[in-house]
Amino acid sequence: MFRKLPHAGTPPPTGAITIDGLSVKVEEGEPLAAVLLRADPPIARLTPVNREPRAPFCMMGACFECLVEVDGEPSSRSCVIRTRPGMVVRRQRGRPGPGGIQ
Amino acid sequence: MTDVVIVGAGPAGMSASLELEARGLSTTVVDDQSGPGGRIFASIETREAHGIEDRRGAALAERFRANCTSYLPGAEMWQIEPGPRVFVTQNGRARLLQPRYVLLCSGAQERPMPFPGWTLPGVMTVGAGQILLKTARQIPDQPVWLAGSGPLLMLYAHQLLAAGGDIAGILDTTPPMPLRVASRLLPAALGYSWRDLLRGAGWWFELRKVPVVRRVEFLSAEGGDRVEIVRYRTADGHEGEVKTNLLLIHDGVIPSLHAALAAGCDHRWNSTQRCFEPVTGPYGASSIPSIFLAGDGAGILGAKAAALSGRLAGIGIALEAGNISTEEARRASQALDRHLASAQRFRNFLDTLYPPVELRISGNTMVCRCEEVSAATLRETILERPHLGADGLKIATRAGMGPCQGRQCGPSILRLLAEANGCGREELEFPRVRPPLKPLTIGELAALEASE
Repeated sequence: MFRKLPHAGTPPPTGAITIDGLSVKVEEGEPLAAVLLRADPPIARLTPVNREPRAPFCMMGACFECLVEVDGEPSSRSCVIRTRPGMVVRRQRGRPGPGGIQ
Repeated sequence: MTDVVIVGAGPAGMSASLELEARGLSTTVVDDQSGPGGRIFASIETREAHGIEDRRGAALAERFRANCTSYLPGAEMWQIEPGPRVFVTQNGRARLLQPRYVLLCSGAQERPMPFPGWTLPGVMTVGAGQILLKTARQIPDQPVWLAGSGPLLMLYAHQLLAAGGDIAGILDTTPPMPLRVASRLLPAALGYSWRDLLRGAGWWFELRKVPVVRRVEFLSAEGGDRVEIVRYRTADGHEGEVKTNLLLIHDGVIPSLHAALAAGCDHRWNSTQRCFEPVTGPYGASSIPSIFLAGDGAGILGAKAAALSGRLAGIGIALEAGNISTEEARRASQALDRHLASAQRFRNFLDTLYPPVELRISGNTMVCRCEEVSAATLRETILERPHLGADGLKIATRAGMGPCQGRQCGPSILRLLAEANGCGREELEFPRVRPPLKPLTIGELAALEASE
């Protein structure tokens, strides 16, 4: 859906995170939602009610569509979270329960 | 103890902090982003500056960093109470701040633009596209379709082309330009910023080769796991469809109201900009003692005016704190008041060119994206139980009860209520807002400490 433009100056350091167990190369400090939009499938979660796929929508923390589990914490807004190497991300499938995502 | 807590580090918050610190009041600035700048100057410290506005924003961010007593990036304000008491979470730790004054500079969000299929992956806002460009140097990997109306759509189209991106076309919802009114308002707008108008005209010229479908009045997006087809209908009944995996939509901006609502600030309907906005008095004072408002969160005037209203609120707070005399405050605010009045005339011109469109909401539109409540369900509920207001409707249908707390559906729910009751939205109130304003874990809440 999206591609990255080359950096004009010194490129930021890169690192790796995992999304649903797969290793993904990222730029350190970019919004996690930006990474999800380059992934396949480019979605964040399935909705709790109708199990519809949803992707980041507003990118500014207002719509809560880009919720994912980050390092064990469910319903984290991936658009306001910046990537750190080693980050463990899981897409949400339905409503997160006490033991994590059901 | 900090004198003033400022919520938001955009142009308004940064300018207010500088004004207050210069007048002997310490500020703590709470902001949810990783660096200062707000949305307009997102990632301004790390990205390349484009043009004079960006360079001014970068300079403002640098001065702000050097002068602010306590800047809390990556922090969320999740509750505000009279006192004032401000609850904040940063790095997994919750804190209670009890300053003498609070200044809310919460900025703007895009007006929700609901139509069937707007929840499909691949439908995003134009603002989201712009934030991706600024914070991640990321552009659509294929020629993109834009739909809607407004200066931000034009600006993003320009930025995208400049960055080497491609635009497949624009499904333009802008109504015909009221030439007579616009030409009457033009001179005053030129007086505020001929440079901005020239830039805008430049974008028009640049986009002349982009296909535009004008007077679009109906939109729908269809697809399985993501958008595949976008259908449209124009005012003269022409129907068409385009194939695309990415559609960026926009229908102007409205104040981010939730912080002011949580604080209990009075709000009112702005019939020109078709949005609710907080009621403000002199110097941006809200209806609640010790709470002030500035920037687009207090009423849409644009980034440049936000910096001015931030400074004005700073002067107002310094006056109330007794740090300056009435005469000093008057003298310091004279030029700001004049510029803000001029900014308002500029805005009137823009609002004439790009009035809020608010496409008709058809039945199978998902109005509440979080709790997945359709327009049809809401309309039926209103019809069956006409006594329900916005809050009753929320309890009956769960619309507005999800994680976004009505940020995306609130304005649409009020449209449906007004439409069904045959009343104006000025007769309605925005659904009540409950704490926490932002998600909060039990662990964070348990670790709450009253630090200041």
